[in-house]
Amino acid sequence: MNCKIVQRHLLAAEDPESPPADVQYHLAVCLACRQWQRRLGQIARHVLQLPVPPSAARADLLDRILNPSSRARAAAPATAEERGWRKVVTTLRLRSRAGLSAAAAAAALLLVVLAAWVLWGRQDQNGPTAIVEQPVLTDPLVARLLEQDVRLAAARTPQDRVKILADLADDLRTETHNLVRTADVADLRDLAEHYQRVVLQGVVKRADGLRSLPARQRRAVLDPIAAQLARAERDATMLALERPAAAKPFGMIAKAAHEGGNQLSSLPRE
Amino acid sequence: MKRFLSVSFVLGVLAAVAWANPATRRPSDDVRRNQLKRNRDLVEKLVKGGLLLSDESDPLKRADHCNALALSLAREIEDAATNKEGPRAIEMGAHLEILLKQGVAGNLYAVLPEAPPRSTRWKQIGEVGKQTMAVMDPLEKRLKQAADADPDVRRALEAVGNGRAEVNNALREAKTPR
Repeated sequence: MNCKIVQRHLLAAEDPESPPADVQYHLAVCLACRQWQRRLGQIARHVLQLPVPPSAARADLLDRILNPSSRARAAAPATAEERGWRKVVTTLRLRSRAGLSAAAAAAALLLVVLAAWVLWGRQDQNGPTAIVEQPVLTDPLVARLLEQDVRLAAARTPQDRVKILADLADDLRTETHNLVRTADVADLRDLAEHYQRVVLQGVVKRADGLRSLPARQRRAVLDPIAAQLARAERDATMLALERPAAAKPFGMIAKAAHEGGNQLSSLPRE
Repeated sequence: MKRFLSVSFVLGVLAAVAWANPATRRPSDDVRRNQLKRNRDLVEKLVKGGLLLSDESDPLKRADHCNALALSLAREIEDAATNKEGPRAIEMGAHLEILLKQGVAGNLYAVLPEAPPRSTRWKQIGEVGKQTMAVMDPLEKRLKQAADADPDVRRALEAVGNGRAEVNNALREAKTPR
């Protein structure tokens, strides 16, 4: 789960302070999203404090229902309040459409600036501890691996375990890919070895344990993994050609993906 | 005119979001290279731990594997506290909190329905709990020593304390007659 998805979850949530477990996990390891969540909470609290303009609509409606003769009043000249607004519009010379649009744009801009200020600019000065957070540069690989381990710890079915292992392998492959320009070849080779181990000793072994499942269910789990391995093999082969210095680690990944794919396809289809 | 204003407004909002959103900030290449080297052993343990967890269908044994991972994280936190690396202590503390809550306590809760008090499973729950506390006691003691001087260590201590509390809840629930 990445920052974008987590922030969308929080925006859509009825109570951003108590998100579901997977979002909580991400929040625990991601300072940026924690700050985002806190500011979202601030906005939610501040919105409640906005004054609501007084309205006579409810009383008018009740009056009309209870006393139909008062309907005539609807056709009466504008109220003092309405006259007041018209006066403002006239004074500010906003009668033309362009004038009104400009005023609306200015109001919208003001709103954006205010929202940005509240959402990103302000420090939480009301908190009980007022701790100033230092940047915690979370290692994304460690965070992803731990997330997958926690998912494996909670997985209840063999199908879930195979899927999570495939995700774990893909995290390792993606990270190797992302680090191709940055990391030393020895470190890339370590990651490639981990990938190899997870695919051949994890995914393939666990997939073999799904033989007892009906073929349709088994295929529903294994076909997407086989496709993922095929993509991994193709990408790693290309990278090995493009970057001769990293040919060995990417060659290992391509080979493991190829072997893993072959072993999955050797399982009975029906 | 209206369309122009609407488009400008939307672009303005997007620019503000892109400019201000801290989530778009990523560790630099140098930081990533160093993280990869530094976390080399931890990554290996997490990969091995994942394979062990995938091999296990018994929740108690899965909780046990999570305890082993918790020990690795606890050592990282202790090292970070000793070396005055507050942000690292926070990072690893957050990982440990989640691992204790969802990995250890989550699996203990899963066993409760089949572990009436004084049964073999019930005793095994107690054993797993003891292992967790054997990891947590020295860690919390060490962090408490450093917490006064370092607010980051205090945050790490708070996080690991939350994780421990959840394991304690599961253990308390195990003792409650059902």
